[in-house]
Amino acid sequence: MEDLILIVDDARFARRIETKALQDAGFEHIVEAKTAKEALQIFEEQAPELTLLDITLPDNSDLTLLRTMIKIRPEAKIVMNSAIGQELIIQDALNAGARDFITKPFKEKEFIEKIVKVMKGN
Amino acid sequence: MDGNEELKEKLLDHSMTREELLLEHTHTFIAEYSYKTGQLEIYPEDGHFVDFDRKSLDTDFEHAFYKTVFKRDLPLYQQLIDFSGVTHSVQRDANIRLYVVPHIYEWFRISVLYYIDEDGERDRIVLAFTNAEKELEAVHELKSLVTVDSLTQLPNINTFSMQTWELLKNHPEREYAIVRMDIRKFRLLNEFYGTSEGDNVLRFLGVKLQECMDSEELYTYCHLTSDIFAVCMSSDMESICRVIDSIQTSMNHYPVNFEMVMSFGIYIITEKDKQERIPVVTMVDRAAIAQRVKNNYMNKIAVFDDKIAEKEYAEQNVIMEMNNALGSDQFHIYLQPKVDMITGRIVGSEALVRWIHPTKGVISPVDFVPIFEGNGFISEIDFYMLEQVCKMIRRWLDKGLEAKPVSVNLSRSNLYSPRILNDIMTCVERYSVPHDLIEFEITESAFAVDNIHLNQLMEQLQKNHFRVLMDDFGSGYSSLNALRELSVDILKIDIKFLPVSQNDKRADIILRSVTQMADQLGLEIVVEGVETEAQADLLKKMGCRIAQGFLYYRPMPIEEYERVLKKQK
Repeated sequence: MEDLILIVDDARFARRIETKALQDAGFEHIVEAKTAKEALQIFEEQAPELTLLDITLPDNSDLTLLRTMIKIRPEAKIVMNSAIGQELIIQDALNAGARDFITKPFKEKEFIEKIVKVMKGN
Repeated sequence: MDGNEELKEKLLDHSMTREELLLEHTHTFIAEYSYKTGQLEIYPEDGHFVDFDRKSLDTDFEHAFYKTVFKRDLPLYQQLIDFSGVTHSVQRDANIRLYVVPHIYEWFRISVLYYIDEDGERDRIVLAFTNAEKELEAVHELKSLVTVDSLTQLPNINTFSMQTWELLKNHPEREYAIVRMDIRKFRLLNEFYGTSEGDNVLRFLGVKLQECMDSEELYTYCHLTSDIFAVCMSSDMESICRVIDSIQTSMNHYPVNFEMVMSFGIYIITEKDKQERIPVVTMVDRAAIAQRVKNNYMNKIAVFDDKIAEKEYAEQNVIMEMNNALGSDQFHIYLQPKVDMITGRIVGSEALVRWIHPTKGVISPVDFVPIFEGNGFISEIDFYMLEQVCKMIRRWLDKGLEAKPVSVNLSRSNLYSPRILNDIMTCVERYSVPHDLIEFEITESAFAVDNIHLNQLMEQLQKNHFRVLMDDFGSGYSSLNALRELSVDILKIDIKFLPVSQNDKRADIILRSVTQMADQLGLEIVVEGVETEAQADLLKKMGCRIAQGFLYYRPMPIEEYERVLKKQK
C-alpha cells in the first residue's frame, strides 16, 4: 500500500519513538509488528511501501527476515534499524538488499530524512 | 541549476522590486490576512520556501498553515496567531518548524504583527516567515548538548538530577533506589577492539536501558560518563532484579568476542536523603561504593548498607589522616623475631608497621595496609620503614648493641619503580648500614606479574649483598615458576602448609618436598605463623630450622626487642 510504513521491532519503546517521529513528520499510515512472523504476515498482506526492520527480533536474530522479504518483493524498500552499529553488520545488511541502515539512537531529523530519501527511491 | 544559483539569477534580475529582492535574499515569505475583507495575500505568491497548499489557505485562515507547521509546534503556532488578549497593535515572535517539502521540516523565525482598528476590532494579521534552519538547528543542538549525552542521547547527570528530584517530589509515597551500572573491564574492550567499538557498545547499552525501563512505571535514567549509567526506579527488589536481568541478557547478545559482564550497585534512597536533599551524585557515589566494596567475580550486584557506609567512612578517615600520620611519626616499627628452633636463639627479625594514633590508639595493620595498597600510599610507608630500620641498625652499631638482620617488606607498587634500587641504596648508604643486615621480603604474588623486571631488581639487590626473601611461598599459582626464574635467597612459608592433624598426609608430603627442594636449591626456609610446640616439633623433624610466630615471640616495640636480645646474650 502506498505510503504505508511497517515498523518491526520487539521493543515497545523503539516502536513508540519511531511511530511518533514518523507521525510528527506527517506520515499517517503506520503499522507495527513485534516479531518476524507478524512482520512477514503484514508484509505479504499489506505490501507496505517502506519497512523499518530491527535486526534482532525474538524469532529472527540475523538477516534472514530481510532476505525473505527481498525474495518476496525484490523492489521492497527496507531500512534496517539496530542498536548494533558495527560496520560489518551494516555492510552485510546493505549487501543483502536493505536500502539503508539506521543505527540507534538516532536523531529524529536524520531518521526522517533517511526515510524520505528511501521512499523517494534515491 | 541548484538553489543558490537560482537565487543568484533572481537577485540579478532587474525586474524584481526591492521588496521582492529582500524577501528572496532573506528566505522570507509574508502572509497578510485582512479580517475585514477576508483576503489573504502571500509574498512571494508561491511561498516557495515552505510546503503549503495555496488553496487551503484561502478557505480558512484560522487554520492556515496547520498542515505546514510541524505537528509538535502546532500549539505554539496556535498561541501565536491567537488575537485574544491583544488590545492594541503589537508584534510577537517565535521559532517554529515548518515543512519545506513533505515530511521534511526546517526552523523558521515567525514574526506576527497584529493590527487593531480604532474600534478595538481585529483589522489584519501579518506573518513573516524567515528560514533560520542553520542557526536555529545549531542552537537546538547546543541546547541538547547541555541536557543530553551526545554519544548515547540519554539524559546527562544534570538532567538526571533534576528529573530524579521531580520524581521524588511528585511521588513522595513511593520508595526509590538508585541503580548504578557499568561494564566490567570496559577498558580492556576498548584496548582489544578500539574506542570506536567501545562507543558502539555504549550506544547499544543506552538503547537497551531505555527499552528495558520502558516497562517499568516511574523512573529516570542517564548516561553519566564512560561505561557508567544510572537509573532511579522503584526500590522493590523484584523490579530491580528484573531490570538487571534484562540489561545483562541484552549485553550477552552483543556480537563481540568479549565477556560483557555488568556490575550493579544499588543505593536505597531514604527519607532523610529526601529531607536533606542530598545531591543525586552523592547517591550514585554510594551505589558505586557498594560496588567497590562488595562486588567480586561471583557477586555482580551490591547493595549499599550501613556496614558499607561505616567501612567507607573509616577508609576515608584513614586516607585523610595518612599523610599527617607519616609526617608526625605515628607509624612505628615493631619487630617480630625469627628464631632458630634448635638453639632457641633469635637470628633476625621482620620489621612490621604499626600505626599508633594519638587519640585512637593502636590501629591494626588490617585496617590500613589494604587501603594503602589500594591507593599506592604503601610505597611511602615502605621507604619510611626502610629508613627507620636503617636508623635503628645504625644506632645499634654505634652503641655496640647486637645487630641481627632485619627484613623489610617491599610492596608490589614499589617493585616496578625505575628508581627503586637507587632509592634503596641512597637510604642504606645514608646510614652506612652493612648490607648483610638488611633483607627484603617480596610477596609471592608480585612474582606473577613481571618476572623479567623483577629478576633484574633481585639480581641487583643480591649483587649489592642484600638478601631477598620470597614471602607467602606457595600461596599463589606461580611459586614454582618464580623459583625457576628468579634469584631468591630465602623462602618464607606460611603455617597453612603445616598439617592440621597427624592424618593430614598431603600437607606432610608437600612440606617435606618443599624443604628438600629448598635444601637442594641452596635456599633457606623460614616458616611463619608457628603457634604451638607440636608445629615446631614437626617442622624440626622435617629439617626446618628458622621459625617466626607467636609460639616464640609476638611483634614487639624496638625497645622490647633490644631487651630480649640483650637477655639472650
